[in-house]
Amino acid sequence: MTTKLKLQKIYKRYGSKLVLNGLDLDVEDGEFMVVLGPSGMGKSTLLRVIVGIESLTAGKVIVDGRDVSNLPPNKRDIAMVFQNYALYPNMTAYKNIAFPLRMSRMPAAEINKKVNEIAETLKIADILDRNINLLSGGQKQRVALARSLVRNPKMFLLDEPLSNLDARVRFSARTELKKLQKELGYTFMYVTHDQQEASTLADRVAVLRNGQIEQLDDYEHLINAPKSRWLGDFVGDFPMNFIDGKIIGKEDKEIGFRDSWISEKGNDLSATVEYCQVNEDIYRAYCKIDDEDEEETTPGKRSVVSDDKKTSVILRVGKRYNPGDKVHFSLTRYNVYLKGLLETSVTE
Amino acid sequence: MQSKNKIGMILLYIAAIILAVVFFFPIWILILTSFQPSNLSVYAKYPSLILQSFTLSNVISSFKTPSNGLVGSLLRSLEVAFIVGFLSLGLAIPASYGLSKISARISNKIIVLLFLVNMMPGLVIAIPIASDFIRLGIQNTSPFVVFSVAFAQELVVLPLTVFVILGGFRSLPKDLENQARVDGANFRTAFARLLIPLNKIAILVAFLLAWMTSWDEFTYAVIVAPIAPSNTTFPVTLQNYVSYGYPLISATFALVASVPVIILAVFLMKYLKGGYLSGGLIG
Repeated sequence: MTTKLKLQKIYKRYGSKLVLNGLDLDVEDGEFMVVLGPSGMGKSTLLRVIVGIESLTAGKVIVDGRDVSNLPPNKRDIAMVFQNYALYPNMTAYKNIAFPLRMSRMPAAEINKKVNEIAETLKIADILDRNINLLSGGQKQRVALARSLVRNPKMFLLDEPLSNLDARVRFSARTELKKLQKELGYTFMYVTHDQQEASTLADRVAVLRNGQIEQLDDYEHLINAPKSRWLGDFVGDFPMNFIDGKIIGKEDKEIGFRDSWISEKGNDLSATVEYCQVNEDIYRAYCKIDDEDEEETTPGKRSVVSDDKKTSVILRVGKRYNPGDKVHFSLTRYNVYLKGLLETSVTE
Repeated sequence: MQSKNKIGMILLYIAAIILAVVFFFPIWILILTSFQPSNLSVYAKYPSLILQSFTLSNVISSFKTPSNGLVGSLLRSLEVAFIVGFLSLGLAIPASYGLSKISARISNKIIVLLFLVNMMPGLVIAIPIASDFIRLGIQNTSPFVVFSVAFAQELVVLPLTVFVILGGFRSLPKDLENQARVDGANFRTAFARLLIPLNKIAILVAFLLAWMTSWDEFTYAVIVAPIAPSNTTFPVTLQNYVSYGYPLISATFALVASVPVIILAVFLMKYLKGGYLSGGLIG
């Protein structure tokens, strides 16, 4: 595989705020790259810098081996779908899709053929002559996608294109998008804050934090071996549990484990259930870890450590627990973190 | 609640009717004067408010004034109004596009600065302009006089047109232009194919406002263009005819001149209700 897009030490400054801080990233040809990050971490800015709407403060954007850092957007040949779709309200769906082709001075007959082809693929052939203000959210999203696909650009940037759709449409659009990308072999760079989208769409996920890529990996690795404490907290439907290392005899370190990495057969650790959440046949207990010192105190006597100082964990358990119940468990697998960074992964 | 609303509506309509009568009254007087013999209107001791007889002789004689008279100045006014209209578009479209790109905090201050001219009495500005035009020699030579009046009037009109078009530009989503650039349009194409068509109503409103302001503008016209029949615009000529003692002719012609403005005003009303005048303040 060859590198499609190469970002070298990208910096972007707005006033005194450094939004992108020396970011490096390689996107392979034909890859579906998802950029994941919380709001306000510069995800959209990253795409805008790549496509050329925002100028770089420093660094290089290299597409297909060519440095495009100083070219205007119309010379970069990168397509982008904006979050709000940015459809041209003065044109019909057909004219919207045809716009990039008209800009490249393609003959009208060929434009007509291409627009109808892409409309057929995306199943929007019947709405081509409609005014875009009369389209539903899902239809708008397809028209925007068709407009970017129709001209066969070097790569595609998508800025949370599914976030304005309702849940069901979003689900089907997601699967379609993935299918389309694989069939046509396009390179996608997709920005989202939605973990589900990242897990289903991505070949690789780049997690953006403080203007840099915190980790670039496939989603499974991100879940199992997050490189930092922050990532463990951020990635996944439920945050990773972190407990003080000394509980299992690792002084000055932190132990991170996912809710399912436990066995209720062992009793290395114990926790007090605060409440229990049931999702179909999965039980999750929200607990506070019991301090070892507290174990020795006589039952009924109130603990000296106040509740909010105790570590909260989420455990996937085998049955429903009532608030106040004790859960005894041991870890089947855990990650060791030193000063917030991953040291080792241990499977027992 | 229902009946209270009804009473409110009735009161509103009564107020609207009173207002309409007040505004329509001068035009009615104009009609009475224009289409009746003089002994029933201007020379009557107690002129009636009802049309008592009908004649076109006033209209005919008003169009028979010397060629440099009313017809000539009407055409000159048309010329000036269109120059002012197009000139303000030529200046205001780029200006407001630029203002829409900078932060509203700064651009709003610039707008206020532009309106500074309108806050001063017209005479304070018109006299220095006139003296400069005299020095440049463009004041009393016939082909230039139209432009000198237009330039002076432009000063009053421009802030308003910038304000209106800026409101239009600000109401457009920012990403539309970006999308056009991403789709391969260069700046000029994006501007011509997207921004201008999307902003056409604001531009039309701005043009008509400029046109109408110039059409009945008096202060600058009377000072910048010297009072000679070959130079004056229509409002100034009309004033001359009234003071020379031709009230009938003037009345008829004033009516003729009002018609396009009334039509435009009715046409504009639909758009002036929209956000184009307040739009400039958002952001």
